[in-house]
Amino acid sequence: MTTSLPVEHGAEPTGTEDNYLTCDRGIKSWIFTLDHKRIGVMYLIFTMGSFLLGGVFALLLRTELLTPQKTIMDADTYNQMFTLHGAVMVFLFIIPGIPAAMGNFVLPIMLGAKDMAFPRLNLASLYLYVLGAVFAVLAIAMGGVDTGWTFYTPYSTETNTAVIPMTIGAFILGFSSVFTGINFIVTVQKLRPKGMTWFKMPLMLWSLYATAIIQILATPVLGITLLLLIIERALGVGIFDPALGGDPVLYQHFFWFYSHPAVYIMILPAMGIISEIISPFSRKHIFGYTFIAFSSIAIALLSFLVWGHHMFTSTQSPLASTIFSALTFSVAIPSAVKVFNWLATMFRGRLVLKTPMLWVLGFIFLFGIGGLTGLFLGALATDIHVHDTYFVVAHFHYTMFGGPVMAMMGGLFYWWPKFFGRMYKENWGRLSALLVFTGFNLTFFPQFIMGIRGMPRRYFNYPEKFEIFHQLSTIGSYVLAFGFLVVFFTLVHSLFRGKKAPANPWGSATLEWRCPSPPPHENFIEPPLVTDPYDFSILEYDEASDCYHLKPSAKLAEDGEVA
Amino acid sequence: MANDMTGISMLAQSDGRFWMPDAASTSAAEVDWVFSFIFWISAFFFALIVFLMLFFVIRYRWRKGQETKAMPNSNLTIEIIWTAIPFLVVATIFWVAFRAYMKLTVPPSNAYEIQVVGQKWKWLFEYPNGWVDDRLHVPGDRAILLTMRSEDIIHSMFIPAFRLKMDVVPGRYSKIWFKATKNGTFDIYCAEYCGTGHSDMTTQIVVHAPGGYERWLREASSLLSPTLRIQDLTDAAALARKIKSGTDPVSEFIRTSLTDAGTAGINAWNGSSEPNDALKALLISEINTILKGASIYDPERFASVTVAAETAALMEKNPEGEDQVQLNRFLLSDAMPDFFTRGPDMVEAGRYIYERKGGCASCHTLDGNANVGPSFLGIYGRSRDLEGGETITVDENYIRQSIIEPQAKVVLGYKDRSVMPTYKGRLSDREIGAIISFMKSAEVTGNEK
Repeated sequence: MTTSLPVEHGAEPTGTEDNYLTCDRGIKSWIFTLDHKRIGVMYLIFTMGSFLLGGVFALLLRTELLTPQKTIMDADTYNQMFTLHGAVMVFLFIIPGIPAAMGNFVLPIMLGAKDMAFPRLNLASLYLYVLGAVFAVLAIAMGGVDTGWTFYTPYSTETNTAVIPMTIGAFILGFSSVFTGINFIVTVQKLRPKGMTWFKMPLMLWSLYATAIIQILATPVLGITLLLLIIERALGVGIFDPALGGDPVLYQHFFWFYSHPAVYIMILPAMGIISEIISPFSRKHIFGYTFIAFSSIAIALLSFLVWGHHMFTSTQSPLASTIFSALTFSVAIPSAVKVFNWLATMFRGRLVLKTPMLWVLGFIFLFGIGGLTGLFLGALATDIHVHDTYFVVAHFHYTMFGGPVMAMMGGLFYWWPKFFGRMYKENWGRLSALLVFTGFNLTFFPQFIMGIRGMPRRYFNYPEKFEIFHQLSTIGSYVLAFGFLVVFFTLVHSLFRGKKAPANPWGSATLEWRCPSPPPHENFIEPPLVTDPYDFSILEYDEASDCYHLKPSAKLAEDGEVA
Repeated sequence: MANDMTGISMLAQSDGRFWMPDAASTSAAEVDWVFSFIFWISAFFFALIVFLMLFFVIRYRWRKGQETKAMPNSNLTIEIIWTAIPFLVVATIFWVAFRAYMKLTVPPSNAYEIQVVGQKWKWLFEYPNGWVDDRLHVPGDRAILLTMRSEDIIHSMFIPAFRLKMDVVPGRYSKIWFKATKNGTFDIYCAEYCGTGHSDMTTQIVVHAPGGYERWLREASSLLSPTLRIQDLTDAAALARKIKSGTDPVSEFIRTSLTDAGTAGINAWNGSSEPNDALKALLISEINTILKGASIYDPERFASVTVAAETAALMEKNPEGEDQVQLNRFLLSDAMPDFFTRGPDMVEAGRYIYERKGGCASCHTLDGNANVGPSFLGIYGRSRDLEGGETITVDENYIRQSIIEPQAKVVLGYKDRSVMPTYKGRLSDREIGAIISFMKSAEVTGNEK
């Protein structure tokens, strides 16, 4: 489908007629491609497919919860559904979603490089992703898994569902994630062109770099943990199962040592996207660049010290809980700093309320609720009550959906013209953002109320008093699904009917907007001119082509400076 | 429902509170205070962020021809201020929540201890006198310490009204404590996912008014006891007369076995009026002392008594402990029929164990529908195919073995869901006997009509 796009570009002179989609044809040219953009596009298709699969599971879950007891499925099926929903969304969608799909595409171009440092490793990471996904699908085909995406022992040791294929899948996906992380770090360290200093890098690159640190340092722990679980299940070696002399709480420590940092693998690149969009759509330089950049690094490092806040009721010692609680609050500070700087960027700007910006505004609203409700969970006394209730379910959907998914959608609408060279219908895009925002709040806000009132999570059956909230939530999920249908339709429609995209439709100053849409195979024919990524005074708007261009004067000044 | 209810008030709780549920313990008040504290701080910051965002969207909306006003791209002072403010806010929240947490974590030294067992998919509570029940009964006027363990996988004790939650982990003990502030019944949930029946692993906590707990525990734990209770007396006056002036050997034996207080009490009675409660209680206590002693059987003493078949059968077994007490009660009933009942109703006791103490009901139905385990309806006396090809008849021995070694002989079709833990050491022989009596009763065999 995408390979047959026409070979035309925006008004920007390009020097070449072919772009990355058309320079090479045939299925083999995709399977064996080393082009980071093609790998990114394939990641995008697979992660979006996973999002659809996870979303279908979610709709089935919500439909089941319309009434207490059985609505459309029995308890065992329900247990499998929420496990698969969580596992697919976490391991196949959100973790690879922004870094591997979007990061792969934009990181080298934003940096001004021709490709990743290790293109073959990049392709290998895609292959591993597909292999991991095959194992996950195999697990579903073998009757599913019913442990919850957390695979807590000793339940995961003794349940007779397909735990081993699913954990092998997650194990392999972990390697895929590590490969991506290595590539990002080495690319940012080594492939910066002349003039691209650390502090001229777009903030997206800082956040992808911070993400990569977590991917490399935390993911191996998950791999080892899942391997130990597989060994225990398959060989009966006592590691976590007390019946075999193991310790089930040890598993939780190992698991969260990865899985808490993993939530920052999800949110950090999302924050990067927000910084990229909010500045050009406010027509104003980002405020507090250094603070936003270093807050990403701070979040990455602090994320390793807070895993125990998932375990306040796990029988870990009160002293440990106290220390983890204190450390947890420290992560709130760099996140708050980012939000304030984004608001300051909007202050006295000229806000362009196009689709990407609407997703960003939605992000700030939803992530604000997600972050602030985290205070209740980091605080010891209140966490004891709301832990493992719908309050937590609502909280992590506000952070993991309100954060990464909103940002990913924003990024998708922002970079779509760059990815595929087509403009979508602006008003349809805006409508989709509005629908998703509304549906999301209707789905998850009632869950805060239920949770505080004591509704435990992962409950097939529930007391009558919670029914009204479950029903509101289910209706919300249908609105949400409809919103994504509009997203899908808007984007696919643009591929066939959309206006050809110019090189720089939004007036962004980062380097990916200097090459044509879609970019040529090698991104840049000549090393691009590195400028301040948020200085829009170097651009001028050309009404005829509806495109922004570099002012000739800026070009000269920069040349002089570089020389 | 009142018809003036608006949409929002319909979502409120019966006591009008919107967020937190009923608060029924000392820690609930603490937690609710911390909750409100964080709530208002969050609400303030959220309102601030959304207000600024919307204000900027309206005020600084892009219009053709307008350019951005020049403004610095960073400001160290502002950055330091908005780093310091969140730091101070979260440090305060941490401290406030930590203080409340210490109160709800450290139990007072004089707390009344109850043992909790979590297992798929029920809660069982072991009281200090050994009685076990599937509901948590507590005195309302004392601090309670729950010492919890798991028979299988991880569960989590969650009492929303007390704002308490603690995992119950196999291989270790976990503890929580509380002091209730309201009498009544409150929900208990399992909050750690534990498989098929997770959402049905719920029960209640009953907080008793002063004295109520002790009364409940005495009543409940005497359910199976073969000793005599006041309500077992069917003719107190006749019994008292027999002891005061009966001439048969059994009456003489009782009279000579009385304590000094017993003798004085019976002598003070006029021999004809209905005994008052004090005398009844005295007689019960005297007779129970005799029942709990050695066997009262003596061929000469019982020469003129017709010994019932049930009594003879029990005597054959040379019973010990409670069964010995039961034998004495049978013998005494044979000698003095119509004055008091022969012992607890084993079918009723069996039902109580089925529903409560054993928690059997959570997996075995009485309506013929298979749940986690086979239904008990009509199972007694039938032959069943087992996993492994064998066929057995469900009799006393099979039921007993299934309780002590549940995995030894699993009924065909239940292997995959067989999660039953052993009840060895958790149910006495007498209790197992009661379950068997219950399963043999007309209601459970289905032979009622």
